[in-house]
Amino acid sequence: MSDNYGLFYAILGAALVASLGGFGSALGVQMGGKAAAGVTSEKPELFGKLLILQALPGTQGIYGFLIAVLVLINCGVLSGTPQVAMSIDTGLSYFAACLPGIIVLPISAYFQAKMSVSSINMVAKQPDSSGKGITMTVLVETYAVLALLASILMVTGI
Amino acid sequence: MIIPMKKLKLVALKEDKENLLISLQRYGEVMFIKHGDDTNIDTDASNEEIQLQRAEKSISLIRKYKAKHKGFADQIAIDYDEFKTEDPAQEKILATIENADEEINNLRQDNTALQEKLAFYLPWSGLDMMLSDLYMPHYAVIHTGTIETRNMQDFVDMISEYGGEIQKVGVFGYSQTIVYACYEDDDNEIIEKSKNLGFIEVILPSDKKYVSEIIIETEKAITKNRQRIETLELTLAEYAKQTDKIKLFADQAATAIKRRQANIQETVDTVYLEGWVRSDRIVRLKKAITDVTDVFDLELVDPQTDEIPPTVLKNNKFVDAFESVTDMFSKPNPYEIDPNPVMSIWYWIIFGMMMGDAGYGLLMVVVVGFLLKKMKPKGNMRRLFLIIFYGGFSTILWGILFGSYFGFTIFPILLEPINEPLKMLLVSLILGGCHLITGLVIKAYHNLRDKHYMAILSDSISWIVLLIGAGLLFLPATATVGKWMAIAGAAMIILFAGWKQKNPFARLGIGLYSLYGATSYLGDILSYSRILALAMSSAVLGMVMNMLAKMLATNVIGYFFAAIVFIIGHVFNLAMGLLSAYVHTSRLQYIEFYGKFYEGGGTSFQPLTLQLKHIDTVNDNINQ
Repeated sequence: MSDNYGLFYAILGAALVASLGGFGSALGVQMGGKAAAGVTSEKPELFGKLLILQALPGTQGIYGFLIAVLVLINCGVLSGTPQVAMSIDTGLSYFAACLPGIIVLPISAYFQAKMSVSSINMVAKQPDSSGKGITMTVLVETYAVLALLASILMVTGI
Repeated sequence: MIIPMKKLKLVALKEDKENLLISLQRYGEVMFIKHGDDTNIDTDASNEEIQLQRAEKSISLIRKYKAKHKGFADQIAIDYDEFKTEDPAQEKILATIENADEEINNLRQDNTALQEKLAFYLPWSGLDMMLSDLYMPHYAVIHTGTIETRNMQDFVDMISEYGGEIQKVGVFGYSQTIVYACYEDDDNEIIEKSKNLGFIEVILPSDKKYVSEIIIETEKAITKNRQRIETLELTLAEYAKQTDKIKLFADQAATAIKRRQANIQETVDTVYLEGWVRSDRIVRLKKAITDVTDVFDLELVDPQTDEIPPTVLKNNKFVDAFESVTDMFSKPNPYEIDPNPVMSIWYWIIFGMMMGDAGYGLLMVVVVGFLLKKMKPKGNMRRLFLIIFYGGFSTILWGILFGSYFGFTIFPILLEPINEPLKMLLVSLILGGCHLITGLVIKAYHNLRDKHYMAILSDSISWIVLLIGAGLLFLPATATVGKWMAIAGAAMIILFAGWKQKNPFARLGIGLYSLYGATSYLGDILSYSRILALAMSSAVLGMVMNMLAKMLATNVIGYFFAAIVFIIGHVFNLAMGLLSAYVHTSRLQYIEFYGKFYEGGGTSFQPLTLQLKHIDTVNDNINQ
């Protein structure tokens, strides 16, 4: 391995952000799904509404993947010309740029899932309030969006 | 727009009550007002409830016998005359279906018992004596039972030691069914020994029959039951062809229940009813009454200030679809202006921007357009489909601006989200700013209508000036203008936000506190960055799918798999994108846009009308 193994850090960041985003979303969608399945057993007609609520914590995984792809594009990995000579500084910068995603995505997915479970229980009792439940649950996602934004701005700025 | 409502007060003769209700329900123009203290009203609908339950049960019973048909369900349309008329055969049809189902269930239970009986006797079919003879002999005892095959030889030896007789009858799993006879005196000893060898006594019922006879009888009974079930199922299948008829029974019963539950006050000779009607349907309402009688007293009044009539919206086809978005949040109350016309346009724009791919837009238009035509969904389902359908056109437009076609980039006109995220962010935030300003303008309109002129200045104009000024600050050419506009806006907020206060210090305090609300505007504007996030994630996912497909496409088999990856990948991306765009566009409307001016809290207009759950349309000449 040469001295210029910056590319490793960049890819490490991309790998972590994609993995942790996916981990958070998998956990979150699972939590929502369990609650939704319970309600569906009693009220199958609510399936459509519950599915939306269940899917809400799923976006963090996509955001993590999005950051990872942007890093890979910028490092030339996707175009088949990886910048093998990337300096450690640059590589670590990419890693740092992934940090908002690495930290916020799994956590926000988990908490959004908790909110989604509460909303699912609310919809079970009051099917008409699904719009309100969706809105309250989506509020949590704002911070995942902001973290994504921070990461995107950093990655594209390097 | 929101249709003004009128309160209806109607007095009519008691003898006309039923016909009047039927007619009002047919026209479907009156929503009855419930009074809390109406205790003397006969709203018992238990007979109709039973009828409804029976019909619904019959529908689900015959469903599985219905011939499967391909494609989408047919629409059920009938004439009002048919809907009105009760089928004299209803009772007979329902009873036949119910009885057939009950008999089938009994026969099935019967057959289960018979199968068990058969399983019990089958290992004994080789027994060549009448069952009752097993209990006949003197000085000897006959035992029947099973023994594991591996202990068989020992058992035979043991019995012959005592001078007994033994006969193998049949096989039962890993065991043999046997019958043996021994002297009465040896019986206890043999029982003890046979236990050790694992002999399990099976007591056959005493019966003047051979086992083989019993088996044949049982098999016959089972076959007979099966034939009977088949006949009954054929009957049910015959009725399944008339499912539409039974569905009509259900809807008729549900309609009658609603009519029975209508709140009507009665005196000795008259009935009195109160309700809400749309002010643009008065003619139809009068028609509904005069169809029945000329003897009535009708009064239509405007709602009192303390009364909140239900909200009825009337919009064009485009806006109507987006009403479902507002309804999910809260219906507009009757005293504000309908936000839907403005909201629908913004929804359309932002939804398309979040999807942002011309190929996906085309798919949305074609596929959902096809489904709308074939499935003919009703109610909110139809509205959701329409939102996606209309959103498809906006998606195509944005896709062309972004130059994005199924994840491929071809000649972007405006910008390319993946490569120019900053530019895209700017466009998103500017769009968000315009969205918020629209909300503030609507608020100004509300205040103008209510003649709160100071509020227009303090709540709307000041913020609009501040927002535009803050935006201009970022452009070097207009920075100076922007600075002064922002300062002017802030000054207006400080000076006028407390316009209701007489005390100048309190007024200044409220002004300063209101300016603190600028932080929430910052949050609101930044919230529109989600447009960038969603547009980019769907663009990047689409791009990755194309890349995967390209990697596979190396030879003929590769092309095949590449096509599969391409199709599944893009369908997945489209579905996820639709979900996100729907949810996040709604959120931007609810929190950011409606937060600026919208009150909501209206109730829906639910007139007494025909209850059509199964039947799709009732054709009636009054509606033409």
